[in-house]
Order: sequence, then structure tokens, then C-alpha cells
Amino acid sequence: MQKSGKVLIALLLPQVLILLLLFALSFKKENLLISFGDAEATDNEESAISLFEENEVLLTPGVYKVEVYFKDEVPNDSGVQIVAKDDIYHSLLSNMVPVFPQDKYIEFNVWAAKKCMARPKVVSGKENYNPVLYMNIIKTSKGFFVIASILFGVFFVIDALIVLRIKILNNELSKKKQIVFAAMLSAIILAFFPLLSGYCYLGSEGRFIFFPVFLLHAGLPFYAVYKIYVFMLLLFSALTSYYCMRFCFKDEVFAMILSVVYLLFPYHLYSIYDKGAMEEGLLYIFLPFVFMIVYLLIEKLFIKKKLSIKNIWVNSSKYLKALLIGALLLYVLIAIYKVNSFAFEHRAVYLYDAVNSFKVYAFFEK
Amino acid sequence: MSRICDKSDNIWKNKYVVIFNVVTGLIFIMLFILSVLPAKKYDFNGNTFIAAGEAADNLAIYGDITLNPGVYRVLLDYETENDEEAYVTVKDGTVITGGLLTNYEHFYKDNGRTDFEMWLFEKGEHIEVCVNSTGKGSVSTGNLTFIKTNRLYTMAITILVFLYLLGMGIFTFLYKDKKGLIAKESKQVALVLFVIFFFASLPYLYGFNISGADLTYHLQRIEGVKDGILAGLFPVRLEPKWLYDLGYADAVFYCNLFLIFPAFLRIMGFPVSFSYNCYSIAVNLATVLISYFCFKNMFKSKRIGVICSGLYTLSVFRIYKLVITSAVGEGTSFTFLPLILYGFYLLLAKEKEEIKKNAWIPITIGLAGILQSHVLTCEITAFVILFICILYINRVFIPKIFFKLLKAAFMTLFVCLWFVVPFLDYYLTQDVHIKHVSARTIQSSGLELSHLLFNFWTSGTHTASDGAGLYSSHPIGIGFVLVLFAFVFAILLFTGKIKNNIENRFFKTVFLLGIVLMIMSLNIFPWDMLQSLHPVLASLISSLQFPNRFLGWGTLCMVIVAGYDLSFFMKKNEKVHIAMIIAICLFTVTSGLRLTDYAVYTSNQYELYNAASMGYGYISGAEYLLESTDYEELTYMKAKCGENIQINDYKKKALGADFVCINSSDENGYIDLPLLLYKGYKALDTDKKTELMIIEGENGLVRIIIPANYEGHIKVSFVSPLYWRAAEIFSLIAYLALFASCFKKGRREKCKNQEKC
Repeated sequence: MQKSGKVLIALLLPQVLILLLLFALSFKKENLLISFGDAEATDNEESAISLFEENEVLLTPGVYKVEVYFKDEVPNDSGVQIVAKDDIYHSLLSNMVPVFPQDKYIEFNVWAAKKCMARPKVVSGKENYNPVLYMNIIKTSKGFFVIASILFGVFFVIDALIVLRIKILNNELSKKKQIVFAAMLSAIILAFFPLLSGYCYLGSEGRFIFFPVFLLHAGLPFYAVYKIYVFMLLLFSALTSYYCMRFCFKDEVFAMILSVVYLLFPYHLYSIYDKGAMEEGLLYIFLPFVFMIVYLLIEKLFIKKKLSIKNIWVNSSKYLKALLIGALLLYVLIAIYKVNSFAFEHRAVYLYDAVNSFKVYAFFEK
Repeated sequence: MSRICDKSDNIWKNKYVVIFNVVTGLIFIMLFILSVLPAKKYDFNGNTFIAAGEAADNLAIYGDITLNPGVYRVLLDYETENDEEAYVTVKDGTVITGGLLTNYEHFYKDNGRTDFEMWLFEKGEHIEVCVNSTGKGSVSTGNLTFIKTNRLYTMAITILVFLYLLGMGIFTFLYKDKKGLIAKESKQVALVLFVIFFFASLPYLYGFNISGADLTYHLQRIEGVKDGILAGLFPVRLEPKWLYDLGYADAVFYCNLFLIFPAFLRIMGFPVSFSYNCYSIAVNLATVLISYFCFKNMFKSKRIGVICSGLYTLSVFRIYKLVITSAVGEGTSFTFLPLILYGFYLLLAKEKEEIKKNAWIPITIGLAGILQSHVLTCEITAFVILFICILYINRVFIPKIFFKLLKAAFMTLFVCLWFVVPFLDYYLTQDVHIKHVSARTIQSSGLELSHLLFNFWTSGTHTASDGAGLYSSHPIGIGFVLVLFAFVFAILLFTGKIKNNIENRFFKTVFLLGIVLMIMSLNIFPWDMLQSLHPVLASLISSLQFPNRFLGWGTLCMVIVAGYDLSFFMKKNEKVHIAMIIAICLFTVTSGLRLTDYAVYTSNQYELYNAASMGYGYISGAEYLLESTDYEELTYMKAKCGENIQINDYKKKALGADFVCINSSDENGYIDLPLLLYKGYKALDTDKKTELMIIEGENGLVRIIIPANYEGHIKVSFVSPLYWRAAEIFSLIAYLALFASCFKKGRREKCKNQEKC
């Protein structure tokens, strides 16, 4: 067994144990923390906001489920939120969840990132009227899954880096492969750029249908799942395109260049960010296979002499080379401009709760 | 080389230089004579009354006045019922654009007379004095006086001196070049440095200022230094006219040493916006030269020195601070940052035997420069030094290094003693507002990760804030190109390409430091948690205001990392090295220069010529105001007397007053003077030579206790305590010692060159 393999096993064992333990803990029973009744609310006549000032509750880090039961009459433009008493930065991740007249019961999640005092806040469409009958705040065990997910990501990156370093130092990875890896990684980070900020963008079409439902229900906030999903789309687009191009042209560097061009193609980024069309993003993973099949067919049927990319490059004049390198540089620059201007021109949205994301987004749009 | 040592070479004997000197000398004498001629006065009599409820829009109260070119003071008597509801300005529609420069001055109830400057560069024959009023309360104006000062000629003298120095510089260059004394590489370096300096200074080459958030605050500081010097206060501790003539202690807390240059330009007669632009250009020049010196010596390559100087001077964060927020204090401090890291490089990246004797000098100059330009950067610098010392704990205590560091620390302290002593004195004894801001949290204004990777910056409309992501954000980041080079460095480190030696260890430390500083600027760094740990931490963190301040140092660290990458590939792979230079040019143009362009064309532009145009009351966050003082209540005031107190011959002076006082009762009385009670005021009975008691009066004003049955002449003035004066003398000696050390170093290097000859 190679040295990197041994190290990987040594690293993986404790990590898997930790992850399994956390996963097991995430199936713990839910625990009712507090119930609020209508009588405990203090109404503010001017702003039609009811606050449960007397009944604050201490939230320790974790994921909480909030169940809200409404009276018969629920006015339009009403909403419920759990707010932190002290304005500690990002102590409580919670959206205002809109309530509609037909709603008799809603539930949503809130995430306590730090220990904080919290209380419900009810916005009513009617002055001096609190539509909430009562509500429960329940501590769930989903927090363990969230920690497990974060640790999984951290462990994966650490392990990959350690193995990679060992391989490089032992000359198990060629220089060409190292360059390809670094360039692909840079391109993926570049394409992912707008989502390196704290929140997410839903685009003009805001389609959520392809989001990984499992992660949402397991307790991860909506924006985190959105990011994971987009990252996966970009990663797999890069990998499939690289694989297909290498298969077709038998040259790693050329495949890498084409893959980077494919990944940073402006319409690709437009589909994912501006349009928020996740299904198109998914399509881009499979499109290179179509190209590969078509290319192989053409090659088999029409091209008698095999193309050698290396020969073409070597035989090109220095002007053509300069032109191609310049064009590639310009292309990357345009891609950077595209992602930069997108992030600069669009306001990020902060959506935490998956179930009510549609409602919340509609509320924001309104 | 032999020509350098040839003493017979003398530029002064060149006939063109002789003609140039003679012509300049004659013009200088002529201008000097004109500048010492007595000032002329032009009086105009008249009255205008604008009743309450009647708004006035450019109502000409005096018209068709003819004046010759010159710099004038405009004095207009007036009475008004309210503050800042009316103002006066001077116009002439017939002069060329830029021929008449003036703003306006607001009317204040308790002021009674305007005194603002007007620059007239061609003969004006239809000059009008106009009043604008909102109609809230009545306004009446009286006599008008134009005083023609000699400042037009003092301005001309300043320009002449500048042109003379420039001309001599060009002559020297041509003379040396003709004799083949300037190497081709040096000429190329000079040209590129000039281009960098020129691009960095572009926003200051217009006739206006870009409206940064801190612009008027710094313009007021310049005006404050000017007013202080003209009032005979040096060093200026309290700005006498700031805050409606009440005196503000900005200079005690925010060192104004470098502002003496723009204040000098103001004294010579130039408008404040022009002085500010000149100062910013000087800061750019100093940054280009200092950073080039440091980077060149660090990487032992002129080419890398120039590139790194360009990366640093045209870095996004520096442009953001200097151009977009007009934070000229912080911008000045960035000039000195490279010296500190260069000093540490000389001490820590060399073997014991190679450490130079004067390695402490860059650290001293750097630290002293930062302390005397921006105290908050000093706080971050302290963290940086602590970080480096911890990582180099095994080397810091080597006697040769330790004593050099100690020497640098003590020398810095002595050089800055003139500022540090009053600063600490006020901070410890005066209850100023800055001591009450520890509850302000900063984490929410931290950056998103993507801020650091952004390339195509524009001015933006707001600083980073929770929820908005990058949306319309101010250009707060270190720039894409520096992150790219950090990524390259990380790859080199990861793949084991960087050898383990003492020099590389230093660059690895700088890289790590840069990463830490960048993380500290993000909103994921737990600032709020740290703030809740201890009151001292809370106060320190709160005073930072914005975590993005760490990016000043972060940018420098990453520029050094970029320099290392360039140096690495210069030796290993020339093609990659050239590609890197192309990438730097490309990203600098699309990032820094694009941002500069945007800033100029999209920001508001101000043309402010004097303090009157800004009003006298703006003090930014009121950090140095006494906590007991209500800022909203402050305006121009008259002396207020207690019961049975009478004052005569009252004269308000800069940070003082002079009057005759009578207390006819058997009890002590008081007078509240329009001066804010900072430590240092003294009230003296000039006849009996006794001191009168001063206590805090209404709204933090100076209250003088008048003894029962008293009659006498009282003089109130601000007097620096003796220990402040002692500190100033210590600093002066330390400055002389520092200059002597630098001079000695320079002479030693010159001698070495001569030995080589």
C-alpha cells in the first residue's frame, strides 16, 4: 500500500467515528422548551407588533422547531419571527415567516448559533390584534447533523490536502497534473465567487425544485443547502467536461483549458446566478457527454488522420499563440467581471428556513 | 564610477543654470517686496433688512464693485435671529471660470460679522455681494469691507520655489545624464515610479475634492492647524476656531504633525481644497518612494521593487481609504507600514553576523510615522509586532536583536513624546466621548469572504453590512491580484518548493500574518465574543470601528508575498515571471485604476476653499468632545455673566479672552466664556498677577469664579503644561539624534562607494 493510502486510513478512522456518533445523536427525541399563549403578548398599537416581552427563553446553540397555532381570523400581511433579545451578531438565524388568512398552523426552524435570549415577535395586519393563539418552541436534535455536515466538509478538505501533499512530495503526481488540479480548483472558486458571501441569490426565476431535499430536512439552513448544491453543480460540470475533453483530445492541459472555458462560460454563470435556473445548471453536467459522443462519431466517420493538439500548438506561429493566450486571458477576465458585477448589482437574500422559503421570498419581493 | 568622485564637476557653473538662478532670484525679490506691502482696505456702507417670513434668493446687497486681482477677506456686519438660516456669498458673472473662488459664510446669531476669504484672479468689475435667507427670522446686514491681503504674492512665491526646485531637478538630471552618470535601469525605474505616482495622484489633479465621508473633517483639521499657528500656538494642541470658536481638542488625540505642510500652504494663501490635494499628492509620492526603497532592498531587485511599489500604491484598499473615504490620516499611516516590515526583515531574516548596525532605524521611522499620523493603525501595528515577536520568540531574545528592537522602541517613544504625553494626559484626566464608546460592536460591519476576491470595484454606496452581501459595497478588499499571488505562494508552500532557510521563514511568517489579518477583517471573526470578555478588550475593539482596517496591513503582507512569488520565478522560470508581471498590469488596470476613474466621475465633487464654507461645527463622531457637553447646544456664543457681574472691553481671542470685570456684590460670582473647558486654561489677573479659579460651567464651558467685590483686568488663555513642553524638548533632541543616525548611515554608504572608486 502506498504511503498516502496508509495516512488516509489513519485519518479516516477517528473521523468516521466522530461523524457516526454525531449522526446517531441527530436521531435524539425532540424536547419542548416553552409555550407562549396569546395572553402573554404585549401589543404595540402604533406598529401592530406584538412582543412576548415577559416570556423570554434562553436558547443554547442548536436547531429549534417553532409551532404556531392561529386564531380563526388571521389578517393579511401578518408574520411570525423569533428574535434575539440582544443584538449579538448572527446569534439567531431566523426569518420573518409570512402568515396568510387561510393558515391555521405553521411550523418553521430557527438556528441558534450562539447562546442568546429570544422571544417571539408577531406582526399583524390589523392594529392591536395578535392573531397567534399559542406557539411552542421545541429543541430538535438536528443541530448534531448540522455539526456533522460541517465536520464532514472540514475533514474532507483536510484529508484531501494531506493526501495530495504526500503524493506531490513523493512525486506520485506529475507536474502537469498538479497544474491541471490548481487551475481547475481556481476556476471552480472563481465561478462560485458570488456565493462566498454569507447569503444566497435566488435569481429572477428562483427555482428550488432540484434542491437536495434530504439536507434541508436534516436541518441545514436553506442558504447553506443552496450553496452546497451550486458548488456541486460547478464541481461536477468541471469534472465531466474535463473527463470528456481529455477522452476526446488525449491532452490533459488542453482538456483543462476547455473545461475552464466551459465552466466560466458566461451563459452558464448567467443560468445559475441571474436566472437561478438550477435545472439548467444540472444540464451542464451532462452536456459534455453529448459533445463527446458527437465528436467520437465524427472522428470515426469523417476524420482519417488523428488530430494531435500538441502538434497543432507546436506548429502554430508565435502570433497565433499570443493571440490565443490573449483571448484566453480576456475570457477569464470577462468571467471575473461577470461574477463580480453580478454580486455587486444583486442584493443577497438571507433565507434560513426551508419549508417557508417560498413564502419568505415572496415576502421579500413584496 | 570615477566621474561620481570627480569634484571638479559642478552644475552651478553651467551657464543655463546660472541664467535660471538669476531670473528666479529677480522674480523672487520682486514678489517678496510686493508681499510685504501693507494690506489695502475697501469700505462700503449700506443697510439691508430682510423681514421674517421673506425668503431671499441671491439678493444682491452690494453690486457693481470693482476690485483688482488678489486674495481678499470679506467682512460683512449683520444681525440675525437664528443660526445658519442665512448666508452671504460673493459673485461676478463676468470673470473667467475659476477667476473668482469663494464659497459662502453662514450667519450666526451671536457672531455679528463674517470673515471669509475670496480669491480673485482677474480684475472684477461687476462684483456682487449676495445674501440668501430661508425666511426663518429676520436678517439685517450692515457695512462691508474687503481687505486685500498679500497672499496672492505669497502664493506666487511658493509656486516659484516649487518651480525652481523642479527646474533644478531637471537640470541636474540632464547634466548627470549627459555625463553618463545615470544608469539605464535607474532611468527606467524612475519613469515607472513616476507613472505609478501619477496614476495614484490622478484624483487630486482636478480643481475639486472627491466627497469622501471624512473629507470635511480633515479639511477642518488643516484649517485648525493653520488657525493655531496663526494664533501663535505651536505645536497646535487645540484648534482655536473649530467648533464655533470654542476650541476643540482634536490635535491632542489625532496628531497633526504631517498636516503642517497643507497648513503652511494655507498660510501662504492657497485654498484649503488645493492644500489638501497637494498633501495627498505628497503622501502618494512618499508612499511610492518609501515602498520602492523597502521592497527593492527586501528582494534585492529594482524590478521587483518597482512592481511591488505599484501594487502597494495602487492597491484597492489604499485607494478606498485615501480617495473614496478621504481618510487621509489612515492613508498617511500606510506610507510608513513597509518600513516596519523592512526593519523586521533586516533583523529577523538575516543571520546574526549579517545584521546591520542601523537595522533599528526603519522600524523607528515607521512606528513614529504611524503614531504621528493615525493612532488606530498603531493599535493594529502593535498586534502585528506582537504576532511577529511570538513567531520569532527564539530570535527576538538574541541580545543583538533584542537591543536593537529595544532601541527602536525607546527611540520611537522619545520621538513621539511631544504627542504621547498630552495624549495620555488628556486621555487619563479628561472625560472625553471616545472613552464611552466601548459598547459599540464591530463584527456586523466585517467583510464577506468575496470582498477579498473582488476585482472590478466601483465606488459603491455603503460599507459592508449584514445581509447585503456585496451589493453596492464600497471597495473594501485587498484586490484579486494579491489573492491570486497568495494562492500561488500557498501552492509553492504546499508543494514543498520553498526551501527552509532563515529568509524564507520571514516570508512564510508574513504570508501567515496576511492570512490572519484578512480573516480578522471578515464578519466570521468572533469580534463580539472577544469584546464581551474584558472591558479593556471591549474598549480596544470598539475603537477600531471597522474590522476592514486590518486590510491596510493585510495588503502590505500580500504585496510582500507577491514580491516573493516574482522573485522565486525570476530565478526559476522567466516565462512565468513575465506572465506574472502581465497579470499584475492587467489586474491593476482593471482594479485600482478603474476604481480611481469611477471614484472621480461618480462621486460628488466639492469645491471648498476655506473653513467658512464647511461651517465651523462639524466634528465627525464628536470623539474628543467632553462627555458633559451637549453637542447640539453648541454654537457661537457670547460671554455670559452671573448675577452682579459686569464685564467691559471684552475681546475674544484664539483659545482665550481679555476683559475687565467688576463684581459689585459680597458673594463670589462667575463668567461663562465661550471656550470648552479642556485642561490647560488659565485665568490671570494681569494687575495683581494672581490666578483666578476655573471650573466647569454650563454645557462644559470655561467658568471663571470672580471673587466678591472684585475689579480687575482678566486674561484667559490656553497654556500648555510644563511637562508637555519638556516632552517637546525631548522629542526635538530625539529627532536630531534620529536624523544624525540616518545621516551617518548615508555618509558611511557614500564612503563605501568612494572606496570602490
